[in-house]
Amino acid sequence: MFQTSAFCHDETLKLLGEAVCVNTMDSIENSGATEKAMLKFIVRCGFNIN
Amino acid sequence: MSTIITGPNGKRIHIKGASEIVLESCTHYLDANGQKQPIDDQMKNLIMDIIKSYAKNALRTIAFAYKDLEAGLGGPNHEDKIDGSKIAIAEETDNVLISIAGIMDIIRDEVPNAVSQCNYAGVRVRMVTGDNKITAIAIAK
Repeated sequence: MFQTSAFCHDETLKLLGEAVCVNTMDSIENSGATEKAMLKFIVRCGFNIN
Repeated sequence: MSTIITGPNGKRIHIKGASEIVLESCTHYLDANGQKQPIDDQMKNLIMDIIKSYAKNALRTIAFAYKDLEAGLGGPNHEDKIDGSKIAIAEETDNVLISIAGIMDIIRDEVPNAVSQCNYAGVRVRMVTGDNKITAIAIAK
């Protein structure tokens, strides 16, 4: 299982989550494949996209 | 693309894009402790090697960076570009690399057969992509 804590500092995750969310256009449903993949990834890392 | 947000400490620009181009605009990266560290030649080469290793494994690479903007920067025209530049003026330098991501874009089941049928019918198949060249070659293989 992927261990996010092995590389991802809390502050880094916060910045990454912020970067992914603010650079996602349209709604989650209508976003592109890359954007959906990154959103899924940060959620898996524990970032709350809401 | 980039987006500017306003927080309690002022404006911040968040940049997302092709790894090599975003990396070129970064002077710092975040280390394992979330601390900003300068990107020297050795670190730049290391990050480039990581990007290439992702690409060789058919992963689409994408980079994320940010910069806290000084007062007065980051107006509504922040995506203006100098002629010929691939990136906006506000994105050009002094950014902090947050992450390089490698995304697997799984080839749909019907694609190999479709390519085979095209070849059998004498249709020359060409790939048109905005992906990194190494990624495109790895996917084609």
